Amino acid sequence: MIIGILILAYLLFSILSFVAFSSGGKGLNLVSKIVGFLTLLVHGAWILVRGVQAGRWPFINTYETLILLGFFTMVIFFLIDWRRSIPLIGGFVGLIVSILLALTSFLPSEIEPLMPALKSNWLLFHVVSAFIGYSGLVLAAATAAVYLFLKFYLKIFSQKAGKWVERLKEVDWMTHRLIVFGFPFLTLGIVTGAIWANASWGRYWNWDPKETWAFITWTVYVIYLHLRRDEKNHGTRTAIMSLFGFATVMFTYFGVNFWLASIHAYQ
Amino acid sequence: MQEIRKFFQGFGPLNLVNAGLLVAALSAGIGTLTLPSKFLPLKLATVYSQPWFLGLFVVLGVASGLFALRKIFQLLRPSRAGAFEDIVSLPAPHEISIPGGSVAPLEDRASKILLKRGYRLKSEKRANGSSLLAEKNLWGRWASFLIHLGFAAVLLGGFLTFLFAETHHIVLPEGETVPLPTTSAQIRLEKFSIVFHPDQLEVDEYVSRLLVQNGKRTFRDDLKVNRPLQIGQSLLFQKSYQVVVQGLELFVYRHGEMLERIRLKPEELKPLTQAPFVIQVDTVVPDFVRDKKGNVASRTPYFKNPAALISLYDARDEANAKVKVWAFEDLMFHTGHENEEWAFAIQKIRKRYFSGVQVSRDPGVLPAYFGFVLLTFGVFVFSFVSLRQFFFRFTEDKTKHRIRVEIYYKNGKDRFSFEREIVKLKAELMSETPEATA
Repeated sequence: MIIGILILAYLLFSILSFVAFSSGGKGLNLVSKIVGFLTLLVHGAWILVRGVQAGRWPFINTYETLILLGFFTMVIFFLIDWRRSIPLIGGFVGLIVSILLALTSFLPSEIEPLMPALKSNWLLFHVVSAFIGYSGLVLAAATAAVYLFLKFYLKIFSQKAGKWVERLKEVDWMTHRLIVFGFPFLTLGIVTGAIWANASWGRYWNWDPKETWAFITWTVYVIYLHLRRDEKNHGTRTAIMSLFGFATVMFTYFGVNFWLASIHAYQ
Repeated sequence: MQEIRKFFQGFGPLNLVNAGLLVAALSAGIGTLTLPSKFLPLKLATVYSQPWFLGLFVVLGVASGLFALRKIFQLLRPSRAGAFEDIVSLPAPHEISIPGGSVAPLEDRASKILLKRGYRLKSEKRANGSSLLAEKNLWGRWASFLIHLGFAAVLLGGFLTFLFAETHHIVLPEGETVPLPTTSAQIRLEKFSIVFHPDQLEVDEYVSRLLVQNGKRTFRDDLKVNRPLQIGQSLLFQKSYQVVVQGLELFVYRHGEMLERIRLKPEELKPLTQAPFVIQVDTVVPDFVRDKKGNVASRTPYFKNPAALISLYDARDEANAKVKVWAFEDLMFHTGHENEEWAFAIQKIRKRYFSGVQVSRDPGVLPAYFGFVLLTFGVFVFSFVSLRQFFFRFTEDKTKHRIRVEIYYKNGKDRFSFEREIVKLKAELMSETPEATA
């Protein structure tokens, strides 16, 4: 029920952000931010209540981590929006978070106790750092989508390009900063996961599908960072690379849980 | 000719590294695919132990290590007198022109602005002006060294693990003492327990209570999931368990009256002492449940609701069971069944647990962990500590009674925020002189 309300509220936030972007209305932009922020507060409260009810950290299965991913994505969005507001990004982020939350309807929502394999202090560090990383990378994909959308838009209406050229550079830079923000947390998530695996399974790296795809995701972003050193790769190329990275993040998160046999599949 | 040169330029060191990383990622991804064997009779998961795959990681590790080595030489090299000139050679400068006859007051103002923003300054006098080097977050320069050294160390650890790590799986039967592989120690599984969450069917913990004799030292400790036990250089991990039903004690009822108590092993045929019948336990189900179709299954592998399928044969006809019935622990079951001739209740189930323990010795852990620390620290420094180096060149133009200020910056990673910083610095520098021009 509450998740349904959150989905609708984030969709409303998304629509308001898109309208605020297209109309350029500052009042509407403020209203969208208030809707988004209030929804985020309810979202955070839901996670807190779930944790209290379960008597454990509320992120041990795909259902709970989807909700956590949506929460972190919105938190990071508001942190960057506080510094530099681009309503179009809010529109994309609201849409992505709504979809993430909607995916929970395919999953069992019952509160399950902690299984022995997850009884570890590493759970907090591993999951939280990995999902902060994922959130940063999800947002980077949103800004990359905004970049490509604007680029396409400017190509069609080139006479309006003038004022947007600087904005385009800023969106490209924002994508980069978000990847640079998400990447260390992704690294920390992988590293804490490896240390935990050593304590739990007796080997810090098992080439389990989850680990392997986490490595692939990490490698994709390493290649992105290497490419970014050359200025001629800035813009469209790195935006596409960011979307490709996002696809690997999503496969690491969902694909492995549902399509590959992994010891990490806790759905 | 130019095309050929362009082609080979594409194989610069960084592009080669990217290509190597891409191949490593693709190969690793292929290993996770589970294709039906009839379409592709290849064991893709074996890719991780193929020599070419390992070779690729060795090359990446060596490349990363060499880069770290080159970087440390650069970092430790004492700064040369002409270091300012290195910066001057970087992208075209921002320029402003401020009215004034002397550089000193303007340099002072620039210094104050930069000091307020946390920059460290170095000044150098020149023939017709001066130069100012402003730097902050200098330790951000260490990021790529730390990352590449860390990555190399992790791969070294992985390589040592691949070559020298030992893993043994041992099965400890309850009550037995077994030698611990690769050590002189002996361990005895005193008890294996499955602890459940209060009021729930889910398991909270698997615990092997071990008695360890290592040389002259004897101690008792619990081995749990996520809580390995160190004995000498080896680590013990709780990996699995197995339970074997060794026997049952049954109450046999006839017409609601207890006839006798009998001990049986699974599948053992045993005659009753009080009647000319033979009894057998066909199977034992730990957590009995019947589905909608009436099929019997075990809800969990734990002995929450054990049941035994009992067959009773006439002593003269052991081929055909006279009675086939499920027996449970619940004695109340029988109170309403006095009309049935035969009924059974489980009094006791004798089980024996076997604990599956992994014994590992891995010399790769230490370098890998060292690498993890460096790598993690390095990526955080890379992301959140942005090295900033600005170079201000003040030049007097006595004929026009103006001072020309050129601002250069050094760092290609985050040009956009550098440009923003320069715009702010320029604005502050020009704020007190309305006649200034950019």
